[in-house]
Amino acid sequence: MRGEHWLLRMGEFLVGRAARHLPAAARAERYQEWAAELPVILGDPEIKPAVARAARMVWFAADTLRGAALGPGLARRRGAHRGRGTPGKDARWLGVGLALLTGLAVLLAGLAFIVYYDIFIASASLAGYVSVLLSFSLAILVGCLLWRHPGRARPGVVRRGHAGGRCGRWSGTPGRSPRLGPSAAVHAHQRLRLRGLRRLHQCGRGHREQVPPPGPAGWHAGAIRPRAVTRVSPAS
Amino acid sequence: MTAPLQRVLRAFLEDPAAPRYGYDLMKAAGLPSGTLYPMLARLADQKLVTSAWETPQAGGERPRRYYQLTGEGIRVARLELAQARAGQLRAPVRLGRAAPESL
Repeated sequence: MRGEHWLLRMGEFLVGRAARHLPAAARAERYQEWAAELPVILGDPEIKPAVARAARMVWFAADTLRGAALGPGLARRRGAHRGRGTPGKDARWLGVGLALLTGLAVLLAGLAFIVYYDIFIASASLAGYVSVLLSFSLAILVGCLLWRHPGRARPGVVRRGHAGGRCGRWSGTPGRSPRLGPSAAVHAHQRLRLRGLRRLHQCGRGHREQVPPPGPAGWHAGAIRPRAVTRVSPAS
Repeated sequence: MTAPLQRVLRAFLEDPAAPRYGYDLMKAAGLPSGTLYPMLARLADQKLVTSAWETPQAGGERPRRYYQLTGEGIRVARLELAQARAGQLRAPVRLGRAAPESL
């Protein structure tokens, strides 16, 4: 199988990391045992597609890491699975990260296969390749936007009211650029929303006289506007 | 006794005389490696399972480690599985609970 060497290296790296969680007396022995299973899994005739064998091998190595990090003699006995910042919790997050990475690798492999199929097997047309590439890029972009949108300026939080307390989270980062911003429009949208939230924050701290009346230029998001109007009403 | 341990013991008892290596047991018991190997280590610490290394082969492949139930392990496994089958929760040997520090 092509890339078998690199797969084995990756598996050996993972089981090596797993062995580092074990006591020194059992470390080398366990590493030898686990590393010996990797080529057996890669050559298992019962698992037919080679990709499935590779995935099985990587999963084997990753799960040894999980089992070693969460082993009863190490983390679980100390109650690490309930603590904060302990090896058990780290290992759990490591497992989540590995699962995400595996999913990403599978997605990328699927994309690569589609592109390969489109170029070399199906039609050999550049237009088809470009169309596939563009459509998947668009899908990934939409996915990124949908993924990062709830984590940023959440209009629902502000709509629930209590601008002074909630806006404190945002007041310290008025001009920060987004970490993963693939679109300038989204960036500008969030900047406007943060500006509105900052004014809400000032409003909650007694600077109501400095807040201009709500209007299209001062307030951006429709989600926060009704609450802001209520809080800066002249009666209050 | 936990359900994964029952599966491992059943896999061993399919042919108690046959040595089984880890991946073989994984497939037979349907367990992931992170569950199986700590369990095998606990069973080995309780002297219910013995392990032996394969003789190194000429091809340069790493030798594998084979596991096998001991006589006491066969007896305890049969007893535990019979008790589990009968629905008795209290077991004379707490196989699934003991947690030595070896793994």
